[in-house]
Amino acid sequence: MERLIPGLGTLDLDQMRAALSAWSEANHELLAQRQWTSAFKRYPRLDFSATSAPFETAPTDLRQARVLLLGSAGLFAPGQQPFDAMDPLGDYTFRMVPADLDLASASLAHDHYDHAAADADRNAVFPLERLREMVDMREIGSLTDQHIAFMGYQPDYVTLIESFLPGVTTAAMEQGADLALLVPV
Amino acid sequence: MLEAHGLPTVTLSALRSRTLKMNPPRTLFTGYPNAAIVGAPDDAKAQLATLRRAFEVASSATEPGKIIDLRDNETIHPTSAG
Repeated sequence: MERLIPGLGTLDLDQMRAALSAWSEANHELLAQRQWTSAFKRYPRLDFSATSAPFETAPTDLRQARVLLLGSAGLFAPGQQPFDAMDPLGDYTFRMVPADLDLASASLAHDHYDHAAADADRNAVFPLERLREMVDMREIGSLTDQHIAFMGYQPDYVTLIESFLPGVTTAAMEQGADLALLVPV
Repeated sequence: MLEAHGLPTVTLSALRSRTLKMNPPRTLFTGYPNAAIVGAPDDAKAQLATLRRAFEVASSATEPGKIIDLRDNETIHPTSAG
């Protein structure tokens, strides 16, 4: 049955769930063996290219704007639970990290990209220090108290739509931002 | 989904083809590899340039689906052919 999903249009989640289930069952062994290229050859990809993107007017004077960062690099703060980077079907949780987080103290749990650059400088994938500098230089108004970090390997887009996105949206709206910067990895 | 709830967004992208399929409201194609999408490690100048351009894209876009290339400032989408 089709449902209207805010920002994504009308989707048949049951049909999407069935397609994903058939794919994960057919590729169970490849996924378990972490043979991603082969496993994703027949992955039922989403395509929103024909859908009109939602659009909310952004602030024109960013010196007054409060900015929220969302990053999918798998970053988590000291004391927080790491993401489950080993689950072949992904992790659909997120972490709230404070605006004053010492990035050097943060860790990464994400097994689907090369961490060399991010290990040398977390700003390459989660630019929190750069954003703080932009506040200091008065190029943007302020940062929200908390920012949102998650692990971007999330192939089950039905779980993403039904669980992850509503949770992240609620958490993001609670921060009272004027603009969100999305940094996918 | 954030945009549909009233929060404007700007997205960085390292993969044009994926971005065109996901059709976010506003996108800056950075030209950097996915694993350093903001800019090379320890190159604060380049990382700041990426963020400044992303915020310019955010504040100047007047229609959904805009994609700008950081390197040549080209508008990737919508194309002149529509």
